[in-house]
Amino acid sequence: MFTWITNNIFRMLWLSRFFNWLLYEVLNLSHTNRIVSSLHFFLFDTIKIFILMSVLVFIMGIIQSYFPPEKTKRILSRVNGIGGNIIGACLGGITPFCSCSSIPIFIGFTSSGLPLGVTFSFLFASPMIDIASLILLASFMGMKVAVSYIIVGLIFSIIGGIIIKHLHMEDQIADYIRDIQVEDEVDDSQLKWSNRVHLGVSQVKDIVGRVWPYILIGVGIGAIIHDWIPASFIQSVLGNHNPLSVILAVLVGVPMYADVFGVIPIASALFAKGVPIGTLIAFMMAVTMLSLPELIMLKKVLKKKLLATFIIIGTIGIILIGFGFNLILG
Amino acid sequence: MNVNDIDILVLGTGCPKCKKLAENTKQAIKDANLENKQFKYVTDPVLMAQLGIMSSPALLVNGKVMAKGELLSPEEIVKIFKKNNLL
Repeated sequence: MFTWITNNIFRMLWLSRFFNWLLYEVLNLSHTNRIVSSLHFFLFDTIKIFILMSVLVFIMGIIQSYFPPEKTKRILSRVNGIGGNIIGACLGGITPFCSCSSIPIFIGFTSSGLPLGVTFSFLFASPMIDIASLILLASFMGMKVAVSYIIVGLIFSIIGGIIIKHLHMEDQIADYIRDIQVEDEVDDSQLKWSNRVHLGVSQVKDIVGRVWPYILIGVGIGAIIHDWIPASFIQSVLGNHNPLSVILAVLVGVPMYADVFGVIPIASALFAKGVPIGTLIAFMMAVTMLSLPELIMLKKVLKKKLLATFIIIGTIGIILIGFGFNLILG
Repeated sequence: MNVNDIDILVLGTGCPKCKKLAENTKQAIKDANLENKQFKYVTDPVLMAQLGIMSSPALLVNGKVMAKGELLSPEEIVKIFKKNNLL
């Protein structure tokens, strides 16, 4: 039963069989032709991601309707100490995150007196982890990778927040934020179920409409890796024998801006070529957490020192996670 | 700027979703023949935070937050106008 669910719902093997049938039997294309193989990869991965993404974003939209940032703020203001970091990271994981909202969320959290460390636990976790990435990772690389990614991501966000707390950098927040008087809008209007469904649908339209080019590019790169770049080359650069592979993955990942949805096809193609899990996790975290647009947004609310600290903690953390995974699983 | 003085206000951070909501709102104003109403699209994260809004973008009618974090279609925006007796 569990295998059936994994194979048919997460991995969608029926869809792969459909394209096998279409390409090799109906169109009678050659099994050994690499262009056909790339085409199969491209068609299968693209359609699989779009199906999974639509369903997942819809579910996320419903969940999110129960946890608007205003409510998150209220929950977080009630917990103290490390509990705040833990809950902050977990709520960051639930809230699907768009760099659009990072500034208002940051200002809202800090100006209402939430500790900086808690806000940062939220900020670390939010772009990196969500339920959609859990399921997608499970689909492409198996449950083990997916669960490890989430757990390590949460622990990293909690520790990152605690470090920032102990650095006492409260003076490193842009000055204008401290003068803000927030009208504490208590918005407890109960949403109707139809509103939640509507929110989910609008979320799907918005996200699919926004990220589809990244997905096509991601799957395209994945298809090239899958059929045209020799495994021996990839392994020599990113494999376990190259101690610098994790650092390389992070350096390549940071300037890239993509959604989890766009990164996963690339990561899964690399995974199939034998790139170790730690290197892949580091790559995915670097792309999603430390992206340039995100940093440009944060620059508006953080002074240089705190922004630099955020980047340094992020980079070192990701590199350590990558090495750790490679060491344990390698 | 007092937000209560503006009939129809889209508040955002300048993200693509915000621009789209501003466009849809303009379309809705046209569809509902509300060109006589005052419309503004403001990108000011500080103002958003002051109003307690944490999901971008937001649509305000007569200073009241009608939607946030949501990309509404022109039809949905016209419905909101109706609810607020703008029509």
